[in-house]
Amino acid sequence: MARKRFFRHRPFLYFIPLSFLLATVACTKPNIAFENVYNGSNATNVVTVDTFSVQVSTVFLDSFPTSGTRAQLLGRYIDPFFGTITSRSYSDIGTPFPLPVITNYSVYDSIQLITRIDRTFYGDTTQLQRYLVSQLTQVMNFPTGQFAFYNNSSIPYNPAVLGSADVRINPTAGLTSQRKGDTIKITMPNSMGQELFGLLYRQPDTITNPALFRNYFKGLTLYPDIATPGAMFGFKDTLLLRIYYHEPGVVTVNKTTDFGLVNQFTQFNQITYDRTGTPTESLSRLNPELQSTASGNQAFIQPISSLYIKLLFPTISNLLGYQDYLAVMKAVLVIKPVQGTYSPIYNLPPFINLALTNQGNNIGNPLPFGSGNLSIDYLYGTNTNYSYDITGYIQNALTQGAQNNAKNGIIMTVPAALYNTTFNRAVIGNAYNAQQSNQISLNIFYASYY
Amino acid sequence: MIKPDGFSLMRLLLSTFFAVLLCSAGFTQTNNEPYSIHAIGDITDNIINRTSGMASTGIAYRNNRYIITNNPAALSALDNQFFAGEIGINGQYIDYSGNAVSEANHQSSDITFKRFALATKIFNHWGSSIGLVPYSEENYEYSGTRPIGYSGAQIPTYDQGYGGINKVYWANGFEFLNHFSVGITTSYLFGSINNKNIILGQGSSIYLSKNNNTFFDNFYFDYGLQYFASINSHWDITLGATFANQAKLYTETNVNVINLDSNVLRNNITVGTYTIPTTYGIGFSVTKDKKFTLVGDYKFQNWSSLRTTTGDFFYQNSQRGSIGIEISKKKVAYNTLYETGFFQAGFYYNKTYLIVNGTSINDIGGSIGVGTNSKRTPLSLLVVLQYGIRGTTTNNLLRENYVNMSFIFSMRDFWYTHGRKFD
Repeated sequence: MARKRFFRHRPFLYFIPLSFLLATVACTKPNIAFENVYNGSNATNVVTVDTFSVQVSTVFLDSFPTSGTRAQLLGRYIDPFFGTITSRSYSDIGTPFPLPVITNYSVYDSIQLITRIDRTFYGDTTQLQRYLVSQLTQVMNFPTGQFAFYNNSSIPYNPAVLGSADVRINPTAGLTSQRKGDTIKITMPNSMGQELFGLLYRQPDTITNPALFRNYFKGLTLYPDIATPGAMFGFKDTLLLRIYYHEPGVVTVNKTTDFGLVNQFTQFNQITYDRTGTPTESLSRLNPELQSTASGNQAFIQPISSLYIKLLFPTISNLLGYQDYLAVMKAVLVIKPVQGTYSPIYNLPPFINLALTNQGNNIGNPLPFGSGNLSIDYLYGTNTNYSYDITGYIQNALTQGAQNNAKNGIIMTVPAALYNTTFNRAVIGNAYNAQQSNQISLNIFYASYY
Repeated sequence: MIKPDGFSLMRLLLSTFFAVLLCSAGFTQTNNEPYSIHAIGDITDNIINRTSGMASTGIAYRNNRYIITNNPAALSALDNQFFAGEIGINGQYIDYSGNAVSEANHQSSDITFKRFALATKIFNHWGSSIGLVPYSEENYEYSGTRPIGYSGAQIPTYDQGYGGINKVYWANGFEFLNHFSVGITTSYLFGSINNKNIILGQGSSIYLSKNNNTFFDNFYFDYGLQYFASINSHWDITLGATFANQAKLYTETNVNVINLDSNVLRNNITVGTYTIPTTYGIGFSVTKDKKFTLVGDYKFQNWSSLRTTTGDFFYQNSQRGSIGIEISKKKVAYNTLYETGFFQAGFYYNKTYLIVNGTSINDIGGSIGVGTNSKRTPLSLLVVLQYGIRGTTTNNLLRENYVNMSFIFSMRDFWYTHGRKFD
């Protein structure tokens, strides 16, 4: 009896299984993302400092390979900051393949040098350009111990001008004033044409053996006339000498044969510059570094004329002495071209990369995330910049100490495909530049204890 | 031999309590309460007691059987010579919504022990109670991102917090002049709140874990007053008021930051105070034929007098209004009016002490409760179902739609085993 009453008067017992049920249902916390507006008071504070100095200097790096780039750079232009820049091309010319059959009846007509633009350019393209051709007097062999020609290499040539052409080039449209599409033709002397035509007819070893022909012909150099500075244009490296002849008969048959480029890996461009009267005048092999504070609080980068920019962060290790410092969460380097130093004629490099460098200004390993895209503000000029995440570099520099940071830093370069084929350049402001909006800045975001 | 009912049931009650507690302990994960990241967490407004079914409306509520601590003055209404004990257990289900909530995983539930109280009449006009209840609770865990300065970049963050402030109290109610009761609750608030914030830097080589462990404690006093009277043979009325002066909790905060290699980068211990502002409340209760009761409360806490140290939230004065009804089923046994069961319903609107993202965090809901008092045993059970909505989805905030199921187990026995003394 007592046991029967036990259940009848204890309704709460029915809730025991319910309690267990409540306790055993899925006690999982939802995966809630609170985005960025919902931080508690314990959130680690991230503090920004932009007061660490960036020591900026222009450095002169000696030579760099310009052979085998598949591009002829021809032109001469005057840059108010970088001087007068000139580029000429050296090309090795070979025999036609297969050799044409020239008969007793074949009649030589003319010879032309033909080359085609590759639509790249730098400078004022509205100017009339005069291109000259001369013949080399030395075979284009790499000097002993070298495997490339460099920007400062040159091959002796006969100064006699074999041919010339005055053209106005519209590179974006791919047209020239010769109305031959993207082709420029330079009429060469008939004496050269007939000599080559005679070789083709006689077919001596000079023409059948390529090595002998190289020793015989040497090669050609194309270069701009210094009297007509304007712009720098890129040409394809596939220049050729074309001989026009015909076979007489009932029906005249016009024919051509081409002496084209051979040994493409030896084709190279010689870059010369005259910086007299510019802020970069003092830079040379003997004086390879120019502090930005000594050049109008500006620094200059144009890798194809051997100028790079070096950045040092000599005081960065002071951050370790901050009482609240915990760790660098992010470091952003913003480099700003100086307003008025660039224009659609004097274009900025579309990319500037960062690499490690040392006291000898050697270009070391590229920085991770060290590729800065250009953002151009032509309207006001104040927001044109290259921006970099150099967090990893700064984190590492902090551990290296002040002595190291006073000599080792970052060097600005342009990517490999562009540094020896494009003339884009930039003038950047240091932290003391008169135009405040053009000053270089290093923003460090560090986790603060407070 | 069958043991007397009272003893046997008490054992069962305790067994049930510990069974559920153990079960809860086995599933230690508790509900994510995102807003508890701020200040001292969610302040416990839902008192798991006899007033739960009336949306915890009880400043002017008096009961002879249940331990009412909403207003300590109510303790004088307890039956003489009885010893009462209560436990409160709450199961909660929450459904989260808002832009930041995962579509796949947006629900959670838990069951937690919420209240333990003992009470008796020390003298005829002096009721006294001791107990343990939460004062505030903090429990959150989430992953997110945080902007780094004004760089536009974001870093991954992880936040976790748990703990809370507990309240051990000794409440006393004194009846005088037949119509008045005055009460005082002497509490000792104590507990620790642990916050952990982890941020990851660029390339995950940076890992910082900031651990903030704050211990709070101090005594806290609140006061109550009730006036109760019968208007006529049908109508009874009670008016109540509560007050607690501004008080300071002593704090000891230990903040340390460790890195990926568990090296302590910084460690600092500071002591200070945390202010709990002035609180007051007023309430009324109207009862007809000792069966139908209408109650209403208004509570106010002057939080806006405090200043926050971060811009992520602001304090505002908290205000809570609630009303409730109760239908009590009573019958006369042994010449005494005896309650066999009751039904409750209530509604509340709570403007909490937080403004987050410029938005006041409000809590609105209703509750119903059913209780039964065992006729042959000293046991009672109240089951309360509550539904509420807290927060909003505007301004990138979260809304919690929650359901509480509360169980209040009550047991009472004679304080003196030699029989009841009739006044």
